[in-house]
Amino acid sequence: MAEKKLSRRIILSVAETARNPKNRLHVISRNGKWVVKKEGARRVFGIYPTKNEAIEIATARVKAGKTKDAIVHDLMGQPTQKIV
Amino acid sequence: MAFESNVFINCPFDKIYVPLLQPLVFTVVYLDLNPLVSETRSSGQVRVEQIKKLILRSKYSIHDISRSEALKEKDLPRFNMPFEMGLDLGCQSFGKGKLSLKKSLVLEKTKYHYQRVISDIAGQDIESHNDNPEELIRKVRNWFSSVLHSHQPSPTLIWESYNDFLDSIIEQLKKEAFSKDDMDSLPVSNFILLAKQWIAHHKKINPEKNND
Repeated sequence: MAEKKLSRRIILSVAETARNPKNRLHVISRNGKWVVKKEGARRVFGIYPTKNEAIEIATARVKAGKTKDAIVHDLMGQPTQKIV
Repeated sequence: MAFESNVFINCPFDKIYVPLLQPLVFTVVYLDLNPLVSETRSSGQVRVEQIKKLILRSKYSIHDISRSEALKEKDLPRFNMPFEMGLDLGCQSFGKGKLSLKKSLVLEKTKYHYQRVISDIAGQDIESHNDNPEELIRKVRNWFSSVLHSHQPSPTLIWESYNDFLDSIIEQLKKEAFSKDDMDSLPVSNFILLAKQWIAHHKKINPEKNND
């Protein structure tokens, strides 16, 4: 399969997302536990022993309208689920 | 980029290794270093000559030999990574001037696995990652912190930034009609460009929080 390469425009559009973090939460693994944090922020809302607990917290915040959506990442960092 | 900032990355480039290659490259960029990889599809002498040039240009190198084993039963193990590691270590030993200052990190999947396959490298800086990208980031970051003799962003910060970054590129590339196969086969050089641009913007909005 031929590789599809990136144009400069696309690379810059990705970079812009770092400058303008979305009102979004991320559920991320950390040292065997799971954290919920806001995109672009260092502070986490909490550290949870299981992924399901972290997802519950993120879901609650999305449903309460405190954040637009939440992305759940797997152990490899890949986003696997979107909570809206 | 200068010799002192270049990092030769010697690792597999197949799809199976992508979940480790990407955080490895991301970490190197996040630490303000320049990853150099050989993406040539040429075999034999052409590839070796390109590898030699990258080795000569890089003060640092990272060799992941975790895939130096047969992927399937009855397959032969792959020796390219250990061979290229040997070229690099030879350069360090016999090189003069700045080449004698080169430093290498060897990565393996499980601790002491190298003893079963290539015991001569005992004494080098060897770390295991257990195929876990978070652990790989921690090991690579901590090694650079020791060889650069300076404080670096924490492994946790790099790992969480990497997660943010992955989400951003996947979302943006989907908008540009990149399929999952397109993204999985993205040239490493493109991924490096994405990482450099994103991290530069990311650090601008977090200027004082990126160092320990």
